[in-house]
Amino acid sequence: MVTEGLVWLIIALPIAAMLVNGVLVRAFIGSNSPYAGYITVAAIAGSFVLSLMTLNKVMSDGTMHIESHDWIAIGGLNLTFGLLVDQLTSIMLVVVSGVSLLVQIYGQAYMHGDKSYTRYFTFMALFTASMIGLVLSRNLIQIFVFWELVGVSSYLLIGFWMDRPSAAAAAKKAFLMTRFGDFGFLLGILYLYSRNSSYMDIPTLYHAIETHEVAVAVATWASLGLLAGAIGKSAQFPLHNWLPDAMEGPTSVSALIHSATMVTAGVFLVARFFPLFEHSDVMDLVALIGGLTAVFAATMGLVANDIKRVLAYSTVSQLGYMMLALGVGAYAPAIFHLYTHAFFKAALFLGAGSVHHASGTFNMNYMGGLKQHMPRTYWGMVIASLSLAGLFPLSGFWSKDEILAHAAEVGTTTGSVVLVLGLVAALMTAFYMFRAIFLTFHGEWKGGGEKEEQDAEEQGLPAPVGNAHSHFGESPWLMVGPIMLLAVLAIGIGFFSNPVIDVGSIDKHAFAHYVTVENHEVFPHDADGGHSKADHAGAAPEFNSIIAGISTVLALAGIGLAYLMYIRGSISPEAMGARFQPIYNLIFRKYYFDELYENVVVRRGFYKYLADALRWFDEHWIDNANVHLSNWVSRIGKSGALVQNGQTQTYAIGMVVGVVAVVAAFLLWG
Amino acid sequence: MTIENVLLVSGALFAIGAYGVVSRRSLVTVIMSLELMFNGVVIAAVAFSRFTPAAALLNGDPLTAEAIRSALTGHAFAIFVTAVAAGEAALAFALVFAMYRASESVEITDAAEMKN
Amino acid sequence: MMEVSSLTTFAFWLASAMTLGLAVVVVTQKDVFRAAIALAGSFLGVGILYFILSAEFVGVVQILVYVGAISVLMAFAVMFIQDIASGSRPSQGRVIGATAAALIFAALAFTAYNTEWSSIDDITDPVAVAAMTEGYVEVGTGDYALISGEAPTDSNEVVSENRGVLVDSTSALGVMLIREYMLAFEIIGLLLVAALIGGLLLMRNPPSSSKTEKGDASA
Repeated sequence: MVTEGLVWLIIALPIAAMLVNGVLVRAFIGSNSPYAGYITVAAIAGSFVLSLMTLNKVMSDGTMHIESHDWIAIGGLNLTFGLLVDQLTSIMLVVVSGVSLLVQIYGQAYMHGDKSYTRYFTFMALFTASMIGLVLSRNLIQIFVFWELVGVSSYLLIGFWMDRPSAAAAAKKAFLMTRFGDFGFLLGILYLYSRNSSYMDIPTLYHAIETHEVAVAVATWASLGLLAGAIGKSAQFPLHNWLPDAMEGPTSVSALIHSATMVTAGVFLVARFFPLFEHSDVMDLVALIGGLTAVFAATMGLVANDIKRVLAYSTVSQLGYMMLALGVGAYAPAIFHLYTHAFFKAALFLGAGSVHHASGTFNMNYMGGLKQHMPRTYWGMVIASLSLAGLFPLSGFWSKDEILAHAAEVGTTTGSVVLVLGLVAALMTAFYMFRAIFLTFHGEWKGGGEKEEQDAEEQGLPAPVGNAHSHFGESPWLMVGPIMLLAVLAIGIGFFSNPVIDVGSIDKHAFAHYVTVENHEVFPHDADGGHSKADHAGAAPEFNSIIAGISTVLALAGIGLAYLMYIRGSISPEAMGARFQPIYNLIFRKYYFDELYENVVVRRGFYKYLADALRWFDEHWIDNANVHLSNWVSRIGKSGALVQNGQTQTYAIGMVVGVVAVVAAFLLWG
Repeated sequence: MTIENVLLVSGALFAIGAYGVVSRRSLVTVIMSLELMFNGVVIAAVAFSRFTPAAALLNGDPLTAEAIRSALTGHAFAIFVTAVAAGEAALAFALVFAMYRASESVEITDAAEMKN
Repeated sequence: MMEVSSLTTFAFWLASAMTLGLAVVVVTQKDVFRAAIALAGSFLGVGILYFILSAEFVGVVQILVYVGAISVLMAFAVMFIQDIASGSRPSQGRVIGATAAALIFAALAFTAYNTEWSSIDDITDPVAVAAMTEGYVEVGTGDYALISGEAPTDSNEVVSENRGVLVDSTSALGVMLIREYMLAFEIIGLLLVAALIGGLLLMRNPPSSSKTEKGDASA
């Protein structure tokens, strides 16, 4: 029932929505038309339904085998494009289109009245189409094309409010930093292409790895390139500092891009090329980067004042978890965490938007006491935060726990190191999430947007951007509905899709089994029919009570500490900040990474040394070469002109000499 | 008197004429040297027709009047060249007069307006 | 090879010496009038050469046209222009010229001596050979070309000397001009008319009406 054409339709519908919105609605109806919203929502709803149908098909029939189509065939260059619909794809399709659908519905209310409403929905459709295309790609070059498209859409959406210089700068920063990672990605692709151009096709690559055709060194270099791209796109250390700045875009954009979809593209890439990574030597590096990022970002989230930035750091940290999982070989737990994280993080971001709607600011120091005014948002965010902190029996618990359990099970040094890092990050995650919750919803109302502006004026600081009037009260249903739906999913989807025991008709570890054992291309069965490879990748993890216990205790400790500091007031945050002043400053300034990149790398290194050197070279050598060349030509011409002295007899001599020369040539060489 | 000797004489006359064209200052003398060159060429043509049998006969064509007459091609050439040289000498001197009238001098070195 | 008597050879070299000697005078004399006279003498020498080469008609034409007309034209020109004592270019011009001339001469001589000239011995057709070597041939009615051979004349010496050469070149040449070279003939006529008109045009007085009013200091 689900044919190739229908799968193409999953991409085609958002693209059609983008074109209709961009060309027809924008031009003829206006830049603030509600029809844009309807069209995008309808298209993405269609994609979602088709994605569910595809998931159903893949669940029952296995990977869809679809032929590749020829794309470019010039000389020795033979590129194809096509669809790869395996288990991983089907899961990602549902996640991307589902979260996108909810965000679009939310966006209709959030962006209501914005003067570029149409443009917003156009770009949202473009982004969704790009992301769907990315997960459906069968060919590495095709992945790269959609990867870049995702980057472009992200740029357009982050810089959506173009008249704010900070937004434009943030969009540029995001694009450039991810581009830097993409450079590594491209090098990896080219290297792989140079080894064998048929490796561009992913199933062919899987097969080649399985038959040990690909050398470890080749796999290592290629994986390093792909890892560079993933680091850029998923904001891992060291290319992480674009993500907090990217919060300049509308909150719904952050909900879609920076929680569920674009940033997970990096994790998706590593998962897609999991056999290649396993075959290479970079797995430890992946795990360490992931673990380091998890802790690193969590520390910055502890002291942030802007609620969206807290969520951004949280995203980076959770992505670190996913990378960590992939690095220790826990494929299924990583995908599981990606899937659950999408739901609760999206819920949190949408909730933050709702909070902004009510309080007029994003700065948590000016909020407080909103619990009475917006109970639904409050409960939604609390549930999502509990899930994020990893409390039994919510989704986050299961997925995070499996990752940590697998890390413990692997037993290598790297595994132990990242286990400890993961546990530390879990403690910090719980703390900062609940600090955010308590500052926002509990306590007393501290004035909101208006007060923040007043304070800024008094202190002579520039006015904070994006502030609006606060109007207490719950946000409209279009906004609250998705939040609540996502919160419900955040409760239950974890357990019910991947239970540790058989629950009714759902088999034990159904999800893990689905993405590993049933994916024959990536995890081929052994000769005797067993599936040891899949088991290594987390097909059927045993429930590790010790780890589960430790992580729960840490989560509760974090929540408790936050409670003590922000509700009871037993420990004063200011006093703690003063005692650890140097560390506090370091973290608050984001470890001075921005300054490092901006001043040292760009200004000193690039501008001064590289660009100036090239300019000197250009002026002194190349321009000079030009000038000298033209002088030389001119001089030759002038000396040539001396032959023309106007004397007829000179010309006659010339003729004579010429004739003699020709005759001599004939005589001598006849 | 073999053909080579006659050609030698013709060549010498041509060379002397060439020397005169290139190294005389007065335009009139240059034209005179030019006429010498013409003569040298014509001598060669006539020599060819005297010493070389008709081309048609050499090819083995049958003996016809035209074939025999073709031995006189050189003479016809000479007639035409003489006619042309006469006309050309007349025009050349007309040019010399015109130059004389315009600038009072008939030295070639003064006719250098096309310099560079 | 054609046998030529030593008398003819002697005459040939004498005429050549005269031609070449007077030519040298033409190109080296400072006095233009003397050069003009030497030129006439050179032309005369060339005419004699034509007679020696059995080209009687061409020789007559040479003397008539060159010596009779062109030399006179040159004399007129020299007298008209009053350009008397102008010699040759400065010395380095002469050296270059001499070098160029020597090169041309060398090329021509080299070519002449290294080419295989065809001769009467290369004719293969036996009839032609017979005609050229032995007999008097009358070819066709009213259309004849005489070849000397055992012709019914009494100058045997001349016959054997000029074996294979057309004796009556004038009539044959005339016929040829009208038959084979008709087009060229007519064009030469046209050319001479053009030269005539061109000469007149170049020589006419400039039209005085427009120039004098504008002030012809720049004329």
